[in-house]
Amino acid sequence: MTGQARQPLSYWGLIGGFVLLLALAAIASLMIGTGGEANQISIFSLFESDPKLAHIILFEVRLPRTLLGLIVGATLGLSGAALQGLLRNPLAEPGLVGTSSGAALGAVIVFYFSIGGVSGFLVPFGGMAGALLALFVLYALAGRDSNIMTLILAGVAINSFAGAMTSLALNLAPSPFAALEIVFWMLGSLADRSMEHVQIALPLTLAGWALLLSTGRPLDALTLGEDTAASLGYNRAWVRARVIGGTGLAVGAAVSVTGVIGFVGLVVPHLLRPLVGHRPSRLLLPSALAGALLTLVADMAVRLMPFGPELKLGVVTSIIGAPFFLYLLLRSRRAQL
Amino acid sequence: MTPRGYIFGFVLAASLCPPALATPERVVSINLCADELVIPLGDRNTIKSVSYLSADPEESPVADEAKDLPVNYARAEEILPLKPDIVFANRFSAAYTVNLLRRLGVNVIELPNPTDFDGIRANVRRVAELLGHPERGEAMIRDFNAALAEAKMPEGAARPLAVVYRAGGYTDGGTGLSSEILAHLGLRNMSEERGLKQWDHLSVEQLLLDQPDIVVVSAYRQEAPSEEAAVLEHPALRTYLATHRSIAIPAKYWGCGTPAIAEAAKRLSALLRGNKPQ
Repeated sequence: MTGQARQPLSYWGLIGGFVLLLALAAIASLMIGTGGEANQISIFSLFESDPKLAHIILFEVRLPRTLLGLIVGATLGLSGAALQGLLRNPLAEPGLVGTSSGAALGAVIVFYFSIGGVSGFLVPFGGMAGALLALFVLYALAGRDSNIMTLILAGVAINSFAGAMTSLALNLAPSPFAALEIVFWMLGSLADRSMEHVQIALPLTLAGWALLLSTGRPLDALTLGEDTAASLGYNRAWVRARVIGGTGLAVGAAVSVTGVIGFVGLVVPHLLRPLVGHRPSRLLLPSALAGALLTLVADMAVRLMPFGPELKLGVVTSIIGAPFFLYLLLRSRRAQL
Repeated sequence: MTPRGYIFGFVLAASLCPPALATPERVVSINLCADELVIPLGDRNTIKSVSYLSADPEESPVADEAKDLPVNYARAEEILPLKPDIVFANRFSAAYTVNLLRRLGVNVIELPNPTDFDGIRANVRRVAELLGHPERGEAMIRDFNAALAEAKMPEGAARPLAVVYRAGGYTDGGTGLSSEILAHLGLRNMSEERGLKQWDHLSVEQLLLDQPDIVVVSAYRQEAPSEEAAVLEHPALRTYLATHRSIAIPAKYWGCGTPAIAEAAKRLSALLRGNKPQ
């Protein structure tokens, strides 16, 4: 798989480029309003006419939204790259294989039934439990080196089941309006989140990232075969535990404040693979950065829609991601012929 | 942001919004159910923004009055520049936005969804007092009571079996506004007797089997295609509706628990008295 004609770009050059783009996107995200009349207000002129208000809008409304976009996007990109490496399957992705919907189910149960009171700090733990459960089921059903169809079918099953159970939980929830909020949980949104949500999601997400980023070398070794990896001193079960645990932590915590945002984890590693070569260790960090970039840009597109109530973020990522998914499926089928 | 900047932001947020005034000068509503009270009870020049649904005649019983008011989509960034003294919301809407606004020191009033006529009166009184016009609230309640009294059927009449049916096959049983209206008009609520709750599901088949005397259809955007509206087009149901007493009442009159619900009672009463519904 390695050693193809294309010379990979300088790795740190690529990282630097993404960091720069991400910084620009984050600044743009802080400059862009949220539709309606607010869209016509420039934050710069607002700083002149009403600095207090400008300060609040910038730091208490747009900053948490931007930070959460970065957090959830990086989580999806990173866990997509790690899952693809672990399962050696190009279509593994938290959305497609049901991890995100498992997280949404766990978060919904904790949130709507006020388990642990109304503070909300337990919600990401619910998301984490749901994500981990979905990952265990996936691994039991599809495992390592299963063919693409088995993985996709397992993902379809987990997604449908978690979606149905989320719907059931919302229907049984004490609030009569919970059932209407299924759209948020299924399609995700960053609208009007506060710094509190950042504080809720960040600790578990960071722990998940640390676990995932630590798996680069062992995932490289695994591409050489399990025996080789074992001879290099890598324990497969321990690698698997870190990828699954890290994905569960990060996706669980992120989804529990943003809802399910699809396709980011699929698109990003695929776009990057030609640039970094096929070693998982070189894919992880760029995928996190590019995932954050894609999510921020998609969220800006949501905000720039000039009419009506705000679109859900998952709608935009799906518009980008679904055709890409179909293209990958067609290509992998052609490769099998 | 640095911790100091963070605290700074909070202090600013707190100073941005003064405590509620006797008569608020800048009033915002972010939910249709609140619009229905804020628009008639508030001083028009103090209402800085209402929800985007309020001017839609399909959705809103106050569409005419809302026509010239600026609208919002319940987004924090739209609300903050208006510097509201008070923001009205519904207890079950836009939870993230309400939390964020409160965090930033905005005075947000979340109105409960009434489940009976007294709950409606309580909401009217509360909004009127918060807007500094309790007398308008009392007048609105008087009108509401008068409309209800006019719609009431004479005692001792037969108590027909009625069912409320809306798109998607949803009905209202239990103790809720639908049951209250039906009871007020001397009707038995079939769904309540079946032990169904509010917004419970009732299949077309079960409805036909239970043979209600009167079917009250909640009409909502029936020209727009939807899976849910298709239930109301079911041939078996249409045959039943054509051969039994039925009435379609626009959903906007009872979508929210506000005095607009008296209009639903009035129309139902006209059907019971054998007058042609409007």
